[in-house]
Amino acid sequence: MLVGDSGVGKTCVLVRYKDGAFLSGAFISTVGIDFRNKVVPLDDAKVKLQIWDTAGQERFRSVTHAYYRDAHALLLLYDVTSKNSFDNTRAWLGEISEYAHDDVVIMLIGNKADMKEERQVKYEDGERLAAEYEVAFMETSAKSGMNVELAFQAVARELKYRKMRNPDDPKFSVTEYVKHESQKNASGCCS
Amino acid sequence: MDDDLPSNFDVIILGTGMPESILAAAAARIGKTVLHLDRNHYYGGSWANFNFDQLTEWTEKHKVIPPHETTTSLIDERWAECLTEEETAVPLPQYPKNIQNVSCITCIRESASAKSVPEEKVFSQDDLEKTNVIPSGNENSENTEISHLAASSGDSFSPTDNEQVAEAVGETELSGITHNLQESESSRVTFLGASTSRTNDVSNQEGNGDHVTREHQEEDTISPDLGQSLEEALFGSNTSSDNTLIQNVGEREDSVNDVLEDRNHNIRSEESAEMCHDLNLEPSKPDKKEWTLEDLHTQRRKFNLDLAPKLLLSKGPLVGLLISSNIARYAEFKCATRVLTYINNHLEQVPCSRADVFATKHVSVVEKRMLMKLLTFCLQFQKHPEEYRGFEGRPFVEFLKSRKLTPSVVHYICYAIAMVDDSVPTLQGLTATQKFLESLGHYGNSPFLWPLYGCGELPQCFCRLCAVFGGIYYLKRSVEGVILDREGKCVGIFSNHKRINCSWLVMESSYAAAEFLPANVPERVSRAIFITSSSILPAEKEQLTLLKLVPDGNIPSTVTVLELGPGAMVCPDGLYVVYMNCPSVHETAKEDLLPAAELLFSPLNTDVNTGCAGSSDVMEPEVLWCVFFNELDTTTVNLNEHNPSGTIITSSPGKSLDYELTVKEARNLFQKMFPAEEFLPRAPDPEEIVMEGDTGNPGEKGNESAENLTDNEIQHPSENLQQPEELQSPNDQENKEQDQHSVTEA
Ligand SMILES: Cc1cc2nc3c(=O)[nH]c(=O)nc-3n(C[C@@H](O)[C@H](O)[C@H](O)COP(=O)(O)OP(=O)(O)OC[C@H]3O[C@@H](n4cnc5c(N)ncnc54)[C@H](O)[C@@H]3O)c2cc1C
Ligand SMILES: Nc1nc2c(ncn2[C@@H]2O[C@H](COP(=O)(O)OP(=O)(O)O)[C@@H](O)[C@H]2O)c(=O)[nH]1
Ligand SMILES: [Mg+2]
Repeated sequence: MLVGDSGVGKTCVLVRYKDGAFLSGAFISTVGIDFRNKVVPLDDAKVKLQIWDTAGQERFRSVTHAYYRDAHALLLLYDVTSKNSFDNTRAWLGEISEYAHDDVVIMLIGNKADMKEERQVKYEDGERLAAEYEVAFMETSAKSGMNVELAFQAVARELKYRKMRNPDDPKFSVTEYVKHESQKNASGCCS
Repeated sequence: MDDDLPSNFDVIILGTGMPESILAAAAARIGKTVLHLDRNHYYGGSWANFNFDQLTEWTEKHKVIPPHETTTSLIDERWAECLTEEETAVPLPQYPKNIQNVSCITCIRESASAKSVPEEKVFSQDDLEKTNVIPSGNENSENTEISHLAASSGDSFSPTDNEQVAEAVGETELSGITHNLQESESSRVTFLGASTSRTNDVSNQEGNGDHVTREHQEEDTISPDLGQSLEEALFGSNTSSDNTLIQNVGEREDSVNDVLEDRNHNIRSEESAEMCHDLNLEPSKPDKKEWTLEDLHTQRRKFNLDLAPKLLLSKGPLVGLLISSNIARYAEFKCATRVLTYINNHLEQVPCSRADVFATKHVSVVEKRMLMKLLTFCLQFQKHPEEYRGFEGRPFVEFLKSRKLTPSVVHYICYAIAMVDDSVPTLQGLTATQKFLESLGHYGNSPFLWPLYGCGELPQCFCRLCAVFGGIYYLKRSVEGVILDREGKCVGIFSNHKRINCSWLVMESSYAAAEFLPANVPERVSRAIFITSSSILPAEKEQLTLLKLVPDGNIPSTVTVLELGPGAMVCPDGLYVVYMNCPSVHETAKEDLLPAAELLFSPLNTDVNTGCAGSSDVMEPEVLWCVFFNELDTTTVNLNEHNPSGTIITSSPGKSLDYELTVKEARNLFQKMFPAEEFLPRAPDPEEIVMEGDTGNPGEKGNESAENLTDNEIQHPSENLQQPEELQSPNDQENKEQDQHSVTEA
């Protein structure tokens, strides 16, 4: 499930991931996205993600509690060009800890990383907050597509790992995976 | 944040209870702009659902007597600047008085540490959860799990994804997962929208592929579906769609069996062995544990306590609406498992299906035959008017007696099936019996469905649909006044001193100014919520129970009792929640309902420090905590008589057991507002909606597709649009967040 302040790009990230497109302008605000399904091939298995959007109810902090309840993973987004959206992530984490499963997978995401000029939140700030709450972290751009695939891929991996856990398997860490993969891709895909 | 709020809407709605939320969804669905506000910080108003702490907070808040408000004390001078000369403003009450006489009783100690701790009490939270989780799984295992494939060609069944996920998390042994596990065992009903889409192979297999052995145990220990087929055989007059359902249920069974075959070489089998192992170690619940207030607070999140609990009739209008509108995908249901009645000084299960009638030991063979014959007649009573000629206007109970039925059979039919009292005329009694029977056997052994996590979910489902169609939600937002034009028509509101215009204003009755309402709202409902330590009639499996208590010397009016356990997702393991309500007779709900509580429970322990709670020789359930309150019942008056034009007033939950009146009310009001429009046409499945990329002219395109969406059409690809991918199986979609992922082996 996607959470975070209004306007940070949740819907755009979802659409980018699902349909490979970037939305802008009036369209997204007129028609809400309910949820989208996507099947992710992972090694020898397939993980089906059902990804829910807030339907705009976050705008005035009126997300229904049921929204959190059944989530196995939450992507908490802020906008790197909005300090306010970053400050509010603590409030979101508070809601999450009250209403979501205790073991929900949480990933903190700083979106709109393409907007270099307007940036207000440093990468390190996001990283520090994520470390404090012991959640995975990365920066994305729905516009360029940077790391969007990776974010969902990492979540899918973690969920699969939790489900299929085999005592012989090496331990899986989203944080490590994200670090590793983003370094690998650093000079690659994003555009 | 305020600056973001537009100042013009087609519809503004105050209150997020059931009728308001249905109207919000219906209006947004046909493309109206909707602003939906609630003065509270939670959804549902008088229909809300709370965890334990939230209910405590609600209780405290409503114990305070609201200040007296006069019209003049509410007027705000600042309004004048925002009004034209011809407009006037009417202030709205800020302290609603719809809830009264809130009285809360705690029958347990604050915490265990106050006194030497009894042995059972030494459970750490973790232990507690573990012991509870595992056995509860098996206990429920006989329950049915049914998906309703309404008018659907889908051929798999859906809750599978859930289960495996639940399982996956179950392994982690973290708290908070308890719910999930229980969930997977309990009998669930999900409705799949009327979709014609084909099942997606991947998801289908992956769903089933992981399915669990527990399910298998269910299928062969009892066969509720068989009972259902018998039902069908008996009441064969049902419509063809029912046959489809039955058939689908059959298919589902097949798919379960397939699953079970897969299962044998599934890596997860060792895990279930593990589970059985644990099970042997810890065979019974620590039900003699002493609960303290502290425990209830610690486990607060496991409670989902309803202010207005109701049941859905399987064939009733709400189920119909949920399915036809596709809103059913946001909720899951469980079938009530038994109907009880109080007869000859004890509780008895009412045989209402053929299977029950055969199984019951309270009824002789002769009586069984009489009962079956009568039920069969009631189902089609219109075809046999000769059977009840002369009784049309006379009491139903007289008609029953004239049929030479034994007193217990008369009692069953009159009080437990028709649920009418002695004064109700025959025709009405027959209709009520028929309504009950028609809903029977669709999803289980009773005609009633319960929404998992409580009834407070339902308004939120409608709100979600409204939001998806552009409705704006703003909780904890007060509304101070209504703006009327020269003709006295409502044109807007003042909210947080901001003027917001609208064409229609919908208000739940407690938001409305006194002058908009009938002078006198005479009726009230008395309600109570009990948290108890055991069931009112313990059974091998957890039950979801409905009971009607008939008025007698002590009980002043018919009391509706609902008992729910952890499987209904309303409380932690080891506890039950009992709801009671009745039409108010005395001044306070406590006076009305205490006799019923005394009948069903051990005497309330009001001296918490004597520690009598938990003493072992008591048979009746002990009440740990309870609350009583009265609620104004605005369902029995005409609310839309004195209100300004352009406004609509909706009613409180009222005393009826089901949602028939609520849906009827919402539908009628919608027709009044938008006579030419369709009421909640089916919402498209997400995969039917195609998003556009950045075309450089998004605004224009956006409007176009918004319109298409409203017309419930699939947008056709053009330019750089993508082809809609193969439509997903409805299974993939209806289970909400729960089956967020599923895994299959290649
Ligand atoms: C999940 C979540 C739950 C929350 N729950 C609560 C809650 O229960 N109670 C609660 O009070 N808050 C709650 N908050 C909100 C709190 O964290 C907000 O940061 C704080 O209330 C103010 O931010 P805002 O979003 O209201 O306004 P902002 O987004 O900060 O403001 C919107 C616009 O108004 C302007 N603005 C803001 N304040 C002023 C001002 N005083 N004067 C002039 N202009 C101004 C800003 O510059 C901005 O342009 C919650 C937030 C989150 C994320
Ligand atoms: N530059 C840039 N803009 C973005 C990005 N993601 C979203 N946006 C824009 O931010 C605005 C809000 O996005 P939206 O997805 O509606 O946010 P939501 O309210 O969180 O769902 C839109 O105008 C988007 O076009 C991004 O990664 N980069
Ligand atoms: Mg959005």
